[in-house]
Amino acid sequence: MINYTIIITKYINGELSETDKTTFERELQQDVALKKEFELQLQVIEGVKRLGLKKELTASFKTVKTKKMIGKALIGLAVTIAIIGAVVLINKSIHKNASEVLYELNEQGNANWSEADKKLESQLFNLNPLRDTIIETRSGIVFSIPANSFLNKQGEVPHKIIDLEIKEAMTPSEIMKAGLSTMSNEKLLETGGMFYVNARVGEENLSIDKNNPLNANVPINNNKKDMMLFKGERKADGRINWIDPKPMKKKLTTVDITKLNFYPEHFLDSLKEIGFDIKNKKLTDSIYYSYSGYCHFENYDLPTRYDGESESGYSFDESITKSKAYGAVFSDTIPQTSNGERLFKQNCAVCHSMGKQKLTGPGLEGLLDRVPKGEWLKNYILNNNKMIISGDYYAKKLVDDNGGADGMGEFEFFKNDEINSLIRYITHSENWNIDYNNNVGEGCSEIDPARIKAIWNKEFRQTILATKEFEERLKVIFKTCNASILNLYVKNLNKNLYEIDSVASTMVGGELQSKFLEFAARQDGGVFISDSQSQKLQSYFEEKRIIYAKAVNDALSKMYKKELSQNNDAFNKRNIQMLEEGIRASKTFSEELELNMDEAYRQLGEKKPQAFVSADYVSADITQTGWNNVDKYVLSTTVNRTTLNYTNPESGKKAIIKYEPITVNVNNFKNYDRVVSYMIPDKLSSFQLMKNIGSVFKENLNELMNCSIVTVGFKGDKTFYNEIKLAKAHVYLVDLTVIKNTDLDKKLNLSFPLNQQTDIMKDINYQLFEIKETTRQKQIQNREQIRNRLLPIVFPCATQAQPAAQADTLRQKQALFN
Amino acid sequence: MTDQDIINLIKENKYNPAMKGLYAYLPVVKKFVLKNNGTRQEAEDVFQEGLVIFCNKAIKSDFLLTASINTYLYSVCKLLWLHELKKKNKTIKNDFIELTDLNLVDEINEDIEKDKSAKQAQNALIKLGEKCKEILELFYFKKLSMKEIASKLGFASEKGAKNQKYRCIEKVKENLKNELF
Repeated sequence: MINYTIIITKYINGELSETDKTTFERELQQDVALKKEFELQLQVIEGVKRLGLKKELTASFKTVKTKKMIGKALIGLAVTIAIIGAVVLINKSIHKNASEVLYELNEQGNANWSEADKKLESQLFNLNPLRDTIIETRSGIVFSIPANSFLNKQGEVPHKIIDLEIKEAMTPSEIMKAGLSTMSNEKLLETGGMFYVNARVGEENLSIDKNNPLNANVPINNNKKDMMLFKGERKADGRINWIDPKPMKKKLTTVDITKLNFYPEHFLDSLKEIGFDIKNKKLTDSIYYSYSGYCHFENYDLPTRYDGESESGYSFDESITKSKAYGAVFSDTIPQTSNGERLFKQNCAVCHSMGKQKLTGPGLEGLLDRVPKGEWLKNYILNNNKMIISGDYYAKKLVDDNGGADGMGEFEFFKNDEINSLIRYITHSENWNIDYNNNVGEGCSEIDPARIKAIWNKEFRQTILATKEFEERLKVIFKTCNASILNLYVKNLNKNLYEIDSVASTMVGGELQSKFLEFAARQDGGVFISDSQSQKLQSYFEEKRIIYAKAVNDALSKMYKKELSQNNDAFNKRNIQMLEEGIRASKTFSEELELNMDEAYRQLGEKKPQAFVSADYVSADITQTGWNNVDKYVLSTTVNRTTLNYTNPESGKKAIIKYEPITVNVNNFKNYDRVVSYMIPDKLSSFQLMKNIGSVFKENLNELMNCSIVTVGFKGDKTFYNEIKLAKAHVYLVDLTVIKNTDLDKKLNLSFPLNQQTDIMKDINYQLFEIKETTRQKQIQNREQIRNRLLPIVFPCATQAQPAAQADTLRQKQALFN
Repeated sequence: MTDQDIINLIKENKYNPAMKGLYAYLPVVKKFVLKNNGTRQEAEDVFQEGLVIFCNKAIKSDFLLTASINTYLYSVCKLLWLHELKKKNKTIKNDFIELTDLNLVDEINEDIEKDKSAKQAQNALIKLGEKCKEILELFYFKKLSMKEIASKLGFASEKGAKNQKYRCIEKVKENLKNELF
């Protein structure tokens, strides 16, 4: 045996050669003794590891324990609170293998056991009838047992641990072995499996509260539609006959809720089209949630819309005015709750009770569970005889079951909304958590993204919302533009999806109604949830949706406020710039004019009149004759920057001041965000701006002055520079080179006197500001364009009215500052 | 300390700092055990057994945390205590095991089952001499090489240590067989 150990050890440690390894592996397949040894050895290794681990853990446990002795009570308390929060209220019962247990009497209280009862093993579960319990049988049937669903003979919930006995035959071979028949009234059934359930306290049989039934989720290999649940009827000969088929609900499986797509239809597609990275959920979320509260855009200028006391800070009247625009769309979905009751009393109560009691017709309790889903109930109420004639199975069955040859009366005169409210009344869904007109305070009935944020999170992971099925419904819910429908699903988490679908279908009209009926027809079930959990999630939803809406509102209002103040700043800055630029330009102009005047008078050999000294000359009225002619010519020369060629008609003397064109052609002009060219004459105190035509700067040079041309380009955060010293009347082609802003200052300092340098730097800084401001405006424009484009997707009904208005307001605001 | 922090510490064999995080989960387990026919000592034992199962799982390279450590550890301990009570022929009082989801229960039951067989081997191992235990532990748990073990435990040669190791394994296997059959 030691040889075995050695070779096995070597194999496990990977010390065998390739050939030995193959041989060993072959041996392992064939030699049973070796295999046993091998497994034993693996177990030993596991044991060794465990021992090591245990030693380590015990040692560190003791260390930490000693350290933690102080303040122990405190830690204990904190952790207890954390755990209570983390544990969900679903219980698993103790699983007892108790094949030997067989009761004397069966569920009917007699000893008429069938063959199958004797052959199939019992699985016994002990459970507390006062609590919600989930159990899973060996073959995978999952029973959800709500609290208080078992009743004793007195119709009371027993306050004792109960024994739940389950037998199952889920595969054909098990069914054959157990000798179970697959016959229903002499007809052969195709079976997906059979099970037996009975609950007892001691030897006493318990019954199931019909209003609080167990739910069995039966695994079916081939997902066949139209699976029915049959009741087993014990025959005297010990056979079981299968009767009373009922449709089964489809089980819902919860998935990772954060992986579902809760955005409105086409939202992600559109984002992708625009060019966003739609895999970045943080980004897509922030875009979507930013639409929260969009319906009352104009309030963004106010500091807060929610004042914390009520859902909305503005008055009720105001919100009514706001929802008026949508009144036309939704008025027919706001039902009068009493209507259903009235209709029932007038038309139905003679033959039907709302409870179990059978009058002429059957009691209506549990109606939605029994009847086929979808349009069936509606059509049946309208004209059941038509359905009987057309051969509808369930309609015919109803006639048979109620012992009459006749069907029900016909009610074709019911209007659609009357039937809807009637069904709501009959199915007790009037007692559901339906909040009609729930949108008061949100200004319009659209589904606010804050509501979606409040459900699209881990809190709802074990609910009907965390299912593919709900994801599909949500797309349609968006199209209803009615938050009440969304709330219907969120606030009835303990219901089956098909029930909620049916109720939702009564709250909308047209195509949407058919869509919800279609959903209902799928018989999608629910996800088990305790009442307290459901309640907790409801208040979570209510609380969070307000918090999120407020948060988004605050953020947006902050953003818009900031933009507004930036717009104001820009407006002011431009005003100042315009003013200063005017002063500067008029200063250089009068300096040049004075220079030209001096020269003209010098050439004419005349003395310049005193008046021209004034810098305010431009606006001075010329009333004198004579020499004033010269002044006029010089003035127009200086204004137009064209050559002066004046001859004094009396003396015949000439005054000529030449202006010659200079052109600066900027290489790669298009590559820059902005280019400015300054003409800097040595005889003036400031610069003159060159005229920009296309990629070219033009101006006429005054021969009386030496000029430098400084051209500055801007691209991104970089500045580019070129300087032409002692510019001639040429065409220049200049290349700009990159320069640091500080170097620019120095360079200007070297070439020009301080006042010119300061003026140029001031202008350059203003250009930089303009570039930034243009980018900012473009960004805002872009953002608003995108927002407007997405708006009809986020709010399918609010297509024109409000968004257009709000876009206008924004445009007006911006126009003010452009 | 986040769950991932704790797991990383365990993977690096740093049990003392890991325990600082894990210890926080003891009080709830204690409460549960005390409420159900258990003593303080038993609660700590159960907790440590639960830790062994959890850590054994966490050190595996392919380990993925499906539930929070909190949920997992609490659930393991509860199930372990239920098994313990069953052995004593006692049942729990009105408090039923509260578990979040059935997948987790299945997973834990599987883990407990695996641990049972390891525990069996561990019990068979305890009966061995000190030196045997040390060799095996250093090799399989501390992952030292045979050469290192030979020098540490004062064997004349690596080969001698190896032979001793084989004999030890052989002995445990025998003990184990006696227990099983």
